[in-house]
Amino acid sequence: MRAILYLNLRLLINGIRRTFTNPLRATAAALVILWFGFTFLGNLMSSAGTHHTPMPPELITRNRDYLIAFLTVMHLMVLWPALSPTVGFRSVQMFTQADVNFLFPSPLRRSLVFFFLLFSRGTVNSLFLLLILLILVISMGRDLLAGLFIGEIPTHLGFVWVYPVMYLLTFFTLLGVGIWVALKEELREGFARRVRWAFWGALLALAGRLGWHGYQAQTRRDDPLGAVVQHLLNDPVVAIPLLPMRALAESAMVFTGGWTPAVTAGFVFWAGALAGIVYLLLQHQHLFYDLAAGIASHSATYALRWQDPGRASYESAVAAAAKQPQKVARWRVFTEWKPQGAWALVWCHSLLMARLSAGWQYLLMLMVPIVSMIVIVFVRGDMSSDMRRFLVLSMMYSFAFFATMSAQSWLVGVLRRAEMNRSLPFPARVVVLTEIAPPTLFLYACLALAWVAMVWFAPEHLLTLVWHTLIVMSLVPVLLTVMLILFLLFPDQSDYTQRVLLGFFMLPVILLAIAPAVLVGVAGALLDLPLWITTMLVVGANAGMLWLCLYLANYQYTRFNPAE
Amino acid sequence: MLEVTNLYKSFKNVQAVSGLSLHVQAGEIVGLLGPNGAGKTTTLRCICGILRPDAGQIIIGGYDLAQQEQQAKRLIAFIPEVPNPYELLTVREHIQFVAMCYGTIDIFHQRIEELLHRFDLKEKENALVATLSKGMKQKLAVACAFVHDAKVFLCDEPLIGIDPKGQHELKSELQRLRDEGCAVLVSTHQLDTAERLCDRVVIMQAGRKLAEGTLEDLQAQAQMADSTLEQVFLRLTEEAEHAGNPVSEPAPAD
Repeated sequence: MRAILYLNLRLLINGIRRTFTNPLRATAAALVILWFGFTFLGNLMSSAGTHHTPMPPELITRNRDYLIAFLTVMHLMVLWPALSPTVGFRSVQMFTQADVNFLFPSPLRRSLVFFFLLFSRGTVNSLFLLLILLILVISMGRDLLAGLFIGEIPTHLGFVWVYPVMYLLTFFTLLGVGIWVALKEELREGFARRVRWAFWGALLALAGRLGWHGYQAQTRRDDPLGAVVQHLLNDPVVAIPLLPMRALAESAMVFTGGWTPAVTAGFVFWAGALAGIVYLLLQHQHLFYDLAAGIASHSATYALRWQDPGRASYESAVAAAAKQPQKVARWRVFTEWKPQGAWALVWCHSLLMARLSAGWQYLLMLMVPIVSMIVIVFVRGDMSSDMRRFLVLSMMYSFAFFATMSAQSWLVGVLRRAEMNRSLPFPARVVVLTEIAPPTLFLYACLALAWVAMVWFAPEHLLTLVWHTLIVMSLVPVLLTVMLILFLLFPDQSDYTQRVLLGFFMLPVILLAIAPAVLVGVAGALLDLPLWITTMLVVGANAGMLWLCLYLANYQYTRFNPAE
Repeated sequence: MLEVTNLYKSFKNVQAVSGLSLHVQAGEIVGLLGPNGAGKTTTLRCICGILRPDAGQIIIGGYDLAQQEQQAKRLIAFIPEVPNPYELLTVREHIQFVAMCYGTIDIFHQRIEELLHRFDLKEKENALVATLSKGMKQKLAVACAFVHDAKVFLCDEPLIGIDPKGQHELKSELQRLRDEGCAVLVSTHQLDTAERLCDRVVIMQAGRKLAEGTLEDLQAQAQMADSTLEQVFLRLTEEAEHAGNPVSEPAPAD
């Protein structure tokens, strides 16, 4: 036990120490700490002497119901991956090859080693959500929460421990269930698939029932969202299966709302479930190391992408070819085009992009806004022209934003290739450009598809759509370059400190990058400039930001150390 | 000292080891040879308790690995092929951690300086493992194997990536261990090294034992007197391949 504690402590301390030996990362970490400190103190001081007007009781109840429903669904979405062997604990490093080589052959008890590693690393991974909640609470301030719930400063602060404890109980239980499913899969192939289908089936059935209630409320001219929330909380068919998640949601509010029966039920349920799953797992403890070695090997492939790019891409290519040799995609354009010089990089990166991109994911992402629009048209019937314009524009911008965010795996590939590409006779800025260009073009192609759908939906706003498409197109490379800079700054995702910093800085830096375009756009709207002029100005602002980002990415790319 | 009887191990539909039996006596170095995918690493991982065999028995120093896992493991030192050590520990911390796992922190304090010097790690003792070269990481893995009083050394391609001086040092170390009465099982592709270093060899192919014995035994089996181990190895494995790979059988039902 002492040995594993020592290991985890040293890994944490050395990770922090390494962060503070790099000036850029040290500055980033210092900024985070200062932000936490100042915001928290600021909120504390500003809220100390303020008084709030109490809300009407019915509004408090309504807000509370909405919040419980929101937190229930949010926890379900955030925690379900813990159940999935491929998403929950294989993609993150619960077990490493170092554990396999140095810890597993040691005489320490395997159940102790297994559970300690699983729960300690699981805790660290799960704490990212708590961190996000903490950031939200601190940034919104106590006043907002107090006003939202009961109109007073919270009076149940003694219960502040309840949520973290129940959250960890829930997370450990789900993680244990995920491990149990994986163990069963080792013994009986196909078990995990059946569990996955059952889980998704149940979830879809619940969503379908809620959707039906929402639709009925809509046809009665009632509030559909209110109906969905009420059924989520009160319809036994939905509420009972979701009760454990609701308990978690209520425990998150216990320090303002007080202890509720659901919280008690939640503790009983999750503690019992955890005890049960640990008992079940112990029946298979002889298989713990087999499973952990398999997970470590999977995680190692993931880690290898960062640490030994050449070998990782070679091994994954070999594995893919061995699995499905006939399915390696080839396109005429790439076989006939034989460019020289820097264009060879464009050729190579475009081919990789084409092979790596899971086209169906983008199609799915594209389908979400389109299907949403169709559903809205179906539900709302006639819509004003302004409403349709608002809808298509928000769909287009959100699609562009989320599709760009999903290009993160490509950026991991950029780091993988850095060592090889830097040895080529091109300046770093050319390499960075050729890395950013393929995903940009790919997203443009997706946008073109989206654009066709939008025009079909709101043909009267064709010109508006053209101008906004131009804006979105200028935004995509900016977002990609900004994310590349962040990945170059925090390349080691097996280091928790760097993961936290990357997660923390992602949104503010993106907001900073799009700020000039937003400011110019707002100014254009305020000055009532014609849309085409505003568009040109916004595109110009984005071009300037892209130039700046490319300069910074180039600077960081030349200094990036793949060994990290 | 080490006795493996009728070992079976499969992964999903792949039979990695099929009915393997071997033994290593105290004061003996045995080479485990075989082409890629023969099941050598899986065998070593089963012996050191990382993987659980589907069937078979592993006895280490008189302890049954399945029944007396902790006692058996105290006698083992494992040197992996690709060490992948904990990158965010320093060299010194890494060795200390392994000593703590075995409850031999006293031995760590006695031996640490000597180990650091012997494996050229002294200059890097406070450097993070992440900053070490591949060869230095391998040396670290070797150093970790000497921080407790193991009686059975399981080495999976231990010489890969180590510089000539380090290789020489490690080979001398293995010979010293043999002289001190330890049992050493070395998996390697370096047949000339195996010929000079090992007292006996076990040749595996497709998860099964193809041949076992001293060089003379193998020469006799291959009918190649005065041939090198490499020539004998190639002959035996090619013959087996032409005769059709030995069919790996699943573990017998209990």
